[in-house]
Amino acid sequence: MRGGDSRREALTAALWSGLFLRLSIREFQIAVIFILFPALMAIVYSGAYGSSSFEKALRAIVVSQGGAAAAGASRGASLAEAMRGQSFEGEAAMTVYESEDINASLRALREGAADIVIDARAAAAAGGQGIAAADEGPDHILVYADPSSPMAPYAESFARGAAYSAFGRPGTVEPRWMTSMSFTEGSGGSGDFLTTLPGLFVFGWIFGAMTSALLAVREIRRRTIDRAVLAGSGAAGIGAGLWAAQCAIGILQAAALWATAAFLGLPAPAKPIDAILVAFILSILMSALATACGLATAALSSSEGVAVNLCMVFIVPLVFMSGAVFPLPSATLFTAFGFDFAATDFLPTGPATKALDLVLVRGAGIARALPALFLSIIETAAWVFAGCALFRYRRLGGAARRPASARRDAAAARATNRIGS
Amino acid sequence: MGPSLTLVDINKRYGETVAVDGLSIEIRSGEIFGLLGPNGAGKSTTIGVVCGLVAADSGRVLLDGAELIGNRELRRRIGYCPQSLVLWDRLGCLEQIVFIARLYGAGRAEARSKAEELLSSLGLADKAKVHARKLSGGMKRRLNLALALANDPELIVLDEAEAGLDPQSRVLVRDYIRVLAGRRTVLVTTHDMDEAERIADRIAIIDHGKLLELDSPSALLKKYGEDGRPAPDLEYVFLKLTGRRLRE
Repeated sequence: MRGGDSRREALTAALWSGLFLRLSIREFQIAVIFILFPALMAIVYSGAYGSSSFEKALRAIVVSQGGAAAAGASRGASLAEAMRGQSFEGEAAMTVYESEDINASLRALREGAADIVIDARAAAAAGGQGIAAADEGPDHILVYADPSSPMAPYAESFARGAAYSAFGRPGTVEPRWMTSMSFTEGSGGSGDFLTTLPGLFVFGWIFGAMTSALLAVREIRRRTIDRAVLAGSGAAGIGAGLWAAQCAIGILQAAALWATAAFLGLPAPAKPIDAILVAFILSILMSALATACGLATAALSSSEGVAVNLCMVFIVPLVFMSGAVFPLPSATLFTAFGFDFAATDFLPTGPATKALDLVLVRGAGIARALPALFLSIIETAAWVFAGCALFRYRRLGGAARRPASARRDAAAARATNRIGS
Repeated sequence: MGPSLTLVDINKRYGETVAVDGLSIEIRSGEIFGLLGPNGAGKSTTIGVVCGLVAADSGRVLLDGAELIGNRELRRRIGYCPQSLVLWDRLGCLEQIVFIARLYGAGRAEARSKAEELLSSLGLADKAKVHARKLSGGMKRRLNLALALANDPELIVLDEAEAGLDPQSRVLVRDYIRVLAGRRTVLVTTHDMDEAERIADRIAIIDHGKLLELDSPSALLKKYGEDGRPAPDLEYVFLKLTGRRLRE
């Protein structure tokens, strides 16, 4: 593209961006629904799943008998140490507390201050918890947790690994130590909210596909886009304008959601600058994806009503089949460059959610989010290209095409000039 | 002086329907040219081809001798006022004109000055900040025209520009178009024979996408008169050429 053309495209994009933003803000329902909707969803989720606890990592309490000489104390200390050594993605998998008071520990569990309590006292197994006398021995541990709590299975899994390394006996297929679960309903941290929060950001951004589609369909239906075509605006200029407007809405939306989550008790991320940077990058990236979906919808829709329904074809898989809002089992399809790739990684919203989760919820730095960000950028670029191409072909094609006869005439004229000269 | 516009053997089909059938017309520099025809005659398609909004199957459109089809730069010299209202409901009159003028490359101050001038010329000065959805039908029509002129075009294409206007607005618009003519070339389509007779220097009557007649209003009246007297009006000429059968 020549310098003049690119300057004109940039100016066109800026003008369209201002226009779309004004039109969005002046339409009350667009402004309110799209900017505040994710924040409202956060309030609903916090009401449904509770927001009393927002611990980032898994929290376990290991109960052992007092006195360093006691067998239970020794076993508890070994187990706690082994659990502290468990890691996930290079960081400690859980925060481990030690206690000698089983009642206080169970109270903490029921209040959501812990996700799991592990009773490693020597008397625990013999305390009528249903373990056969023949199995009694120093390697029994008793786990208290609510298996339906989203955090407990993870905590238990890490605890099992730790117990194996602490008590496992070389040469045996099954370690002699045993765990038994005591069902403690309603206990554990409110992990659902944290699990869902990054997905709410992504959901909000992708919901912008509807704003984009409605704005673009209006331009087409009212034929105001014809004026743009006459003025020489191309799909790139209009699309970039729509994207910039969508970015502004997306950033406001994310700020409103973050502020709401913080008000509800979300602690500040461990690396706030990294978290803000990743959220900013993703708001731009996901806005581009939403714009592409909006343009593709507009290319195929004859009215605003059709557009509202049709854009669900894009929103539903991007939000609900990517694991953004409802975590899906992460079945690894293949491993490449040292990374596991799951089916959800092939929708740009999947890695985007993963990147945000890392920096916002798990306290990681931007470096750990880079692979997911990179994957999301690549996939989003493919979606944007497809969306813009479809829009250009379906809605701006008439202006872009030159009749075959005119091309033939021009070619003949050029040939004649060459012969003449 | 406005540019000349030449249509050479334009053809356009929509499936089995022939919209424009080998149409060739030459519009002279600076004239007001009326394109007349019944519904479905191919007027709007022809205008769409001229403006680059409809891709012709074949043919050439030349603006001052240069190929217009597919040429973005030349297309920017055209101002198009469509038959339907093409406005942004939630933008003020001034905002709309400034936006269009800036799309054509005008600076902020230049665009604003142009917008104020157009609003004043078309009797909308006191509605500068009013959103289009709050304007009356006639005011919307005038704003529609103002948007077509925001880029200071050399070729103005008006598709039924006077439809829906009250007599006062019609006179205002007609006088304004006359003022524009000369420095610019104006292509007007209309169903209103009186309007065509009053405003156009020359008229083409088309039907089924074909050119039936092209001449000045007075020459057409003379040509289709009877018993040595000119035809009573253009409507008479029009019906004589296109028949009385109702169109879809």
